[in-house]
Amino acid sequence: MRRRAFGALIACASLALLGAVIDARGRVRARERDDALHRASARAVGPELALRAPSRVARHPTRAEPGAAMSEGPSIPDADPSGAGSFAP
Amino acid sequence: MREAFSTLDHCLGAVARRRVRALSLGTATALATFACASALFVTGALREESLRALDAMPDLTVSRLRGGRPALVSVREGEGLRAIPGVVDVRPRVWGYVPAEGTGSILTVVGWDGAPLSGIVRGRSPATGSRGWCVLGGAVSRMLGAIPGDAVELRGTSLRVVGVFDDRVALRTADVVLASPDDARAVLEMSPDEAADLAVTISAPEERALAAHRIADALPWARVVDRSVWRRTVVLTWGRRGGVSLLLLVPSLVALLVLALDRMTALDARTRREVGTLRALGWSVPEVMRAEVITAGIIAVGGFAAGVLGAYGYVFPLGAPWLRRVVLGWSAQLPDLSLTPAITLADVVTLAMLALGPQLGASVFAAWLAARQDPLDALRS
Repeated sequence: MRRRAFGALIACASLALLGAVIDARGRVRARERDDALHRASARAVGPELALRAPSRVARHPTRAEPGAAMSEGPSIPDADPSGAGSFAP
Repeated sequence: MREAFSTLDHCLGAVARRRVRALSLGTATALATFACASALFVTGALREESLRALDAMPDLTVSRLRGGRPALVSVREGEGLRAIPGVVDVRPRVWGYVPAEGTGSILTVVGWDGAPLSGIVRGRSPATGSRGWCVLGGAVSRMLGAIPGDAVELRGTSLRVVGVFDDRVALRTADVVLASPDDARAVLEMSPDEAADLAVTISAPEERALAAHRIADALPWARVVDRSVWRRTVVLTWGRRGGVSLLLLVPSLVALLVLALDRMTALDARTRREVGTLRALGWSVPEVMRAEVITAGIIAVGGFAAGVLGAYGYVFPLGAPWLRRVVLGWSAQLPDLSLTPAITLADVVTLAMLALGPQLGASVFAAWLAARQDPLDALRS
């Protein structure tokens, strides 16, 4: 009985894992299908992701400040030349 | 085989008998795994997404630094770079930021250099050389409530919306206003001879570093970004951001270790009798230890699997609500997050070491404590 319940639990977990694998493959395929679109958008507006901080405005880190778009956050060293190496207050 | 099944039966029975302990440990493991896995999955997916389109970046990007801050470059000065051996093309690029009045967000204005837009824009593509038009990113379009045919005014320049970027490319276009270079200059208050930076094409990849040195010698004010160097920077910065997220979770992992040690080493009378009975029945110390470790393993692996699967569902189908604000930054108009899984074996091994390592270590210690008891003393307790 106990072994059967354990087997059922393993089966459920396997099914959930299978579902996640199928979902992941679907997402990877969809991304591959849209790859040409992503490359076209990168050519048109630049390859960087549209992630930035309004306080530092670093939409294009390669073109503005190295790493700026990703260096903004609580207790992350300030890479900005105005406060190089110092921590945010 | 029979012995293995018997041991498994015994261990499952032990889990059922110690269900409160199993539930608390399993839940703690699942929560700690969920938190770590979510951070790893998001940063891994964003790192891969950042790397995928880097081929579209120019071989070299030349910008001007004045007083340590980025400044506008002169198009005329850029023309001089064509004389440098290995340089095939120099293209001035016009881009910059303008605040969208009354919304608290900032738009990225990009001058269109003629790159094909078919397939990525809903509406019509602009004609080369024309003026007075703009293509909006999805987030900008929603924020301004503007659709193709509407007019928008940016810094005194009126532009007709001819299209909106497709949501499938929102990760790069969400906050963009694409306009003709002349209109972009007008919005960004640049003179016709000014550009934000210069995109330099090099004849062969192996000449990139040498050409970068030559450009830096020719233009002392220049900051030259090599595409291959930027690739490394992307990997390092996303790794750092993922690392910082994991660092924030260290207290929860320590708490898990303390909980595991406390729960496992606190041998109640029932567990003592159980272990004493096994020892009295002739189980050796290694056999008792093995059974105790398997019991702990069932709980830990169960919690780990639940945590990893939960994190997958949270990050990919649900788009990581809350966590995206922490990992992505503090933008007022982040794109809808549709990430592609980029989970590697190294990620799973790292998670397993973080979540299972402390518990299994604690279980070995606890099993040793339990197994070394004198069977008679244990039965009397």
